[in-house]
Amino acid sequence: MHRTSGKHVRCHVRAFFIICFSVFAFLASGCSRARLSDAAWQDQGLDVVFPRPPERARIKLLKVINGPRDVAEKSRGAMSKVFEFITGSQEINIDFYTPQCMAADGNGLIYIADPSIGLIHKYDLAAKEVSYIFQAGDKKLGSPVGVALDAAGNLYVTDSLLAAVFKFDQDGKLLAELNGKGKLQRPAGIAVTSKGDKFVADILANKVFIFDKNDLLKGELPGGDFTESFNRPTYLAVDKQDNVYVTDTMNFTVRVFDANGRYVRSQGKIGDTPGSFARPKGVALDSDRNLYVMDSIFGNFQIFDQKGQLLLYDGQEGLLPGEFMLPSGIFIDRNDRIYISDTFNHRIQVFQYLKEKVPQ
Amino acid sequence: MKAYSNFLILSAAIAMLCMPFAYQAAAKGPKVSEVAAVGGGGNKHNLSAKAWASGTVNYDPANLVFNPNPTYKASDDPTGNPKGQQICIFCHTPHNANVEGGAPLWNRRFSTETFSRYSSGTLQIRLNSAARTPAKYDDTSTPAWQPDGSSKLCLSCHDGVATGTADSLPHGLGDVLNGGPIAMAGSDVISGIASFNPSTNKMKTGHHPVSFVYDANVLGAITKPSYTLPPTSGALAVVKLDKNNKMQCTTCHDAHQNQSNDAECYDATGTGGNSVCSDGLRKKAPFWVYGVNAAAVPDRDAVCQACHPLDAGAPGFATPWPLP
Repeated sequence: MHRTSGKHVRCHVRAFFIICFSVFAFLASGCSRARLSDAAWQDQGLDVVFPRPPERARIKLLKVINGPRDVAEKSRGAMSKVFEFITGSQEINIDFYTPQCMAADGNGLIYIADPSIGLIHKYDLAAKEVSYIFQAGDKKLGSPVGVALDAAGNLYVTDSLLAAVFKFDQDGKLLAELNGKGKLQRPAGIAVTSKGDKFVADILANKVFIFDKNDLLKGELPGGDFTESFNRPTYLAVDKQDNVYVTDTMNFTVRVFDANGRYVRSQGKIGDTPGSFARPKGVALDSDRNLYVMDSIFGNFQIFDQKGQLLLYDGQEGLLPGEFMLPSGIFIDRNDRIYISDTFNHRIQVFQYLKEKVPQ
Repeated sequence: MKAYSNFLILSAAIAMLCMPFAYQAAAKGPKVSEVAAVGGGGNKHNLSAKAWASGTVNYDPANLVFNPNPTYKASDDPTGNPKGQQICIFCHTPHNANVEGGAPLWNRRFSTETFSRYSSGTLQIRLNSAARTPAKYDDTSTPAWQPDGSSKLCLSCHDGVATGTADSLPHGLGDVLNGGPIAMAGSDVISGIASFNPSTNKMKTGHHPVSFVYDANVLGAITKPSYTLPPTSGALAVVKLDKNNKMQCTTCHDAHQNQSNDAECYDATGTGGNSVCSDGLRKKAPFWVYGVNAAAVPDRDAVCQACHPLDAGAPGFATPWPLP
């Protein structure tokens, strides 16, 4: 693949086929902060809910995104090549290869890390534009795995190959590389708390490193109260109370720590029955603090409540909407939309958590 | 060596089953199950406590730094530590009888179920009918190119996250058509003497597709004129297809034991030179299915050239992949 030497390329699609370059990364974008209407989230022709009737639907499939063309076709009919990536005189569409972690602002802005091709896909569904981040200053991203947004809309990216955590602004301009003080070995999952702390899972270090709101390394998990040790922690998430959920992949469980870093409990163990895990990967929490855990081997995600009760398991291996092939990342935005990286179907699927109307 | 070569030829003529034993003259790495009484061991695929130091690449019993206390750990005390012998579970998920966390509250029709997982290469693909259809290989509108069989097990960990990226970027069947789109960089380079040195422009990508049948029917469905079938003779017996005649990761890699030189790494610059393995360096022949030369590059070329005879002397440059 040819890669451009430019810093950041943005493609706009409006009534006419217009491609404009953000030659300077700080160039303001006039149309990228729109909000996608609720109705526009629902793709027509999708009829997938979990669990199936007559059970009450809890999860509904909203959208399947296979690549830039999907976004374009929805606005421009049968245009086959709308979003192009311009490298010199060559035009190349960049589809998803092995999408991993995602971050979204709830308004239609989605960042998707794609380590296989070393870039971040930036989808702005409201503005109908797709752009890519593949440079961190003068470095080419190696294997971006984790992405997370802070409250100001800055994007944090972990790069497992470069053993680095980068901070970008909303326009993809590199703001900083976080100082891991030589401790980072293979950072992957990343999440930001309400206080601005960044939690970074490091697979080889078998640690979770904590950076404060000023991006300074300030601590690590697990603390001394945890009697076991991580074995390949991969992904993590925080809930609205700032509890931290770490997928301890090769211990086949999810570790829960409170906002002060104290170990609370573990969810799940190895096995092939509901509630068990074979390759637990992405974790996320909805507004009711239900815990969602992706499993690559099972091709599904399982939902648990805070008591550890299994609520539901959704999806199976396959090609159809609502099915998965070696899925990995999961992210839930503030509107309870669930983004799943269907890694080896090379696509993103977006679901809606159908919240209980009456608290039980 | 001549007598040894003759023995190889004789073995091939008599019984392919004998071949693996004939190739065991060179140094092999430890088996995953070779857990030493002291110091753990096995190989890198033993992910239990007393095996591999986090961050180390080379098997060096004297310098293991143990992950102190994960849940599942190998030890020499199976009585006191019943989880200590569970070194297979990291890939091969065991069946458990109990539903963890109770029956799912949101689905009252729940019945006892076990989730689909890989079990062995002897299973047919259950759900992915499209991937079984060779004609689909050339239909770019159908997303039918997923890994299956044992390769799922590999890719479920070798995902660029849980395990190394440079040596294990996962790519599926689609690449059989287009070649991998991945830029070659740094330690991403497969370097061999003849076939796989990117400087020769014969193989520009460091990754190979998996989970595909490649036979005359498939070839007929592929419109690229540069494709041909692999040679029908001379292929190494150790290079195996699975029961469905698919190439999988296991065609070239033996996840349980490296049959090749276990101690040679690419140098730090990624230019293909040799280096004593240390942290951050990648093995020349990771879990290679074949080892006879005790040198990674010839062993690697021997396997790759079973299907890709791209060395200068090969007639017609048979190319089961598109030319650059």
